[in-house]
Amino acid sequence: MSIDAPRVIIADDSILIREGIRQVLREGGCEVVAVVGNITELEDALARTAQIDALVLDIRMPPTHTDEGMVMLEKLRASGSQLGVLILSMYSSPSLAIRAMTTGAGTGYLLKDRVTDGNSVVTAIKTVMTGGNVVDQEVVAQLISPTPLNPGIDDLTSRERLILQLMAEGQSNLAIATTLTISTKTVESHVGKIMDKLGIEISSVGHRRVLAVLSHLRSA
Amino acid sequence: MDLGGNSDWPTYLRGAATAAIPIVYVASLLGLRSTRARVADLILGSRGGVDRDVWVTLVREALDDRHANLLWWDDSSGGYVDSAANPVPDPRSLGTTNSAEVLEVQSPAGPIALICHDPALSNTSELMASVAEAMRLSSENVRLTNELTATLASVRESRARIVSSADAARRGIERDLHDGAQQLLVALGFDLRSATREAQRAGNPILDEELARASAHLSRALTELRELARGITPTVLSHGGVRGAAEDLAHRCPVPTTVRTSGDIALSQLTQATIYFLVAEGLTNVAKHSAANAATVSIDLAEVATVTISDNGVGGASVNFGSGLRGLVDRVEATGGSLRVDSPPGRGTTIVAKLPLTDVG
Repeated sequence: MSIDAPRVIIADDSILIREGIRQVLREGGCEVVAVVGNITELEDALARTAQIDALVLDIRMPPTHTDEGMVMLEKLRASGSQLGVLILSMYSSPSLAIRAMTTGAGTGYLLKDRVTDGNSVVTAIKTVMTGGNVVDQEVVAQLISPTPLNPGIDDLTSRERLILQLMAEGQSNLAIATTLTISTKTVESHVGKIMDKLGIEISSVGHRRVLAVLSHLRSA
Repeated sequence: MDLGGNSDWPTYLRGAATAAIPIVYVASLLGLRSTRARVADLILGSRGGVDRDVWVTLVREALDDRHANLLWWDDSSGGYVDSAANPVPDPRSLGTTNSAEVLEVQSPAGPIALICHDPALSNTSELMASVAEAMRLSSENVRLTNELTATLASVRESRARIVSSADAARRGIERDLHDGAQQLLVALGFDLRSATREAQRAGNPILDEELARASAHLSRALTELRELARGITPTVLSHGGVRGAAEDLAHRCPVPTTVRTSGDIALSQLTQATIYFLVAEGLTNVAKHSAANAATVSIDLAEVATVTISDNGVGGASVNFGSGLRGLVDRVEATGGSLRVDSPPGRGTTIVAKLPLTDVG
């Protein structure tokens, strides 16, 4: 595995999108080892290509154009694969993001339009290939802001709300500290206060933390 | 039977039986009760549509002719059949029977039956005409009932078909948006990105700024398109099933909403979409009219799908008020289900829909 030049397979049934992503990833320093348009081709590519670091996977694929990509992700995880998988979706749906996170570590859920922003997609690839998780900010924002479902959210300071958003997007305490240029100790202290105010206990890390935060926000 | 001599009979019965004898005797003498009442029995006995064997018995009783028989017109073979549906020749064509022994029963729609009877009955034209009329009425009745049943079934089917095809059209539009417009816009995003890089490389800050503005507009267009597509059809159904869809809807409802589901049964697209629209419309009403501070959605999948949407708001909702609930009733009934709205003023609103589980196809 090379974090500087991740070896990536792209699976998307639209040739325009496929080629666009290929271009963006190349410029971002990735090595695109295969580009496929359906699940069968993807399975072939996975079988014959060595040392894949990450898979960029469209959620809607032939034949039914519904959730083929998601089913493929679940199949990979069921077979024990720890390959980094970045799901690209047209839907800003919390339930879909949670379904993806449920499959485990090394999984990302990004809205498809993010791919035109080279930095965020390459960063997301590097996150999932090292076992991290990524959830699109728009999906998380939907869970955090609009409804009075969770009265605890109102009690959060804007700083705490931002940190909650970043936690739900999959960032570790260290990553949050870097993003906000504060110390990890400060982040930990904020996280402790957030848990208190929301009345939840989240001692876990990685994808379990993302899942716990997302599930809490949605069911609250 | 020796009624009078049977000492086991209670006295009052013995008396009643003895008293009955002269009445029957007188009635048969007059021939009045027998004709009218027996025809009445025939009409009453056959009005619900009865088996052909029963018809034969009824006609024999009505005519008091235990050898009478019926032959039925069979449209498919263009001839007569017996009660067991075996083809039989028209007795009038055999030459062994004279026309006085056969009465043809007809309706404007065509032949119904032949009554083969004792030739002596030909003199009792009123009785024969009554029996024929009774058969005609019953046959018309059965025909109309069958027609009505068939029409009703076809109306039901066409309602369900209309709903299904509207769903399919919505899915088609949604698919076109995702696979067409949305993909093209994302592709446009790649083009803008390349152009931006070129502008930066060429050191053209004005063009760079213009392109950044275009990218921002594109980003908003994509967000709005996503919202639009979501409103058109419950796409999330195909990904997360009714539970995920209901949870997403509940999450967008400004009134805190709890979702409960039980049962795990594969649902047809029609049922899934109907449940989605129930929850979507139900929660829209909760948000707009109820002034509630809590709502519950429960979906219970067993022999039927039971969907309940309730709130603790002001109540007073009615299927006649506002087209939203009326539309839901139409949709639920079109799929063969039923919907009840319970909304007493001041005591919240509960909508309960029961949907048959149609074949998964």
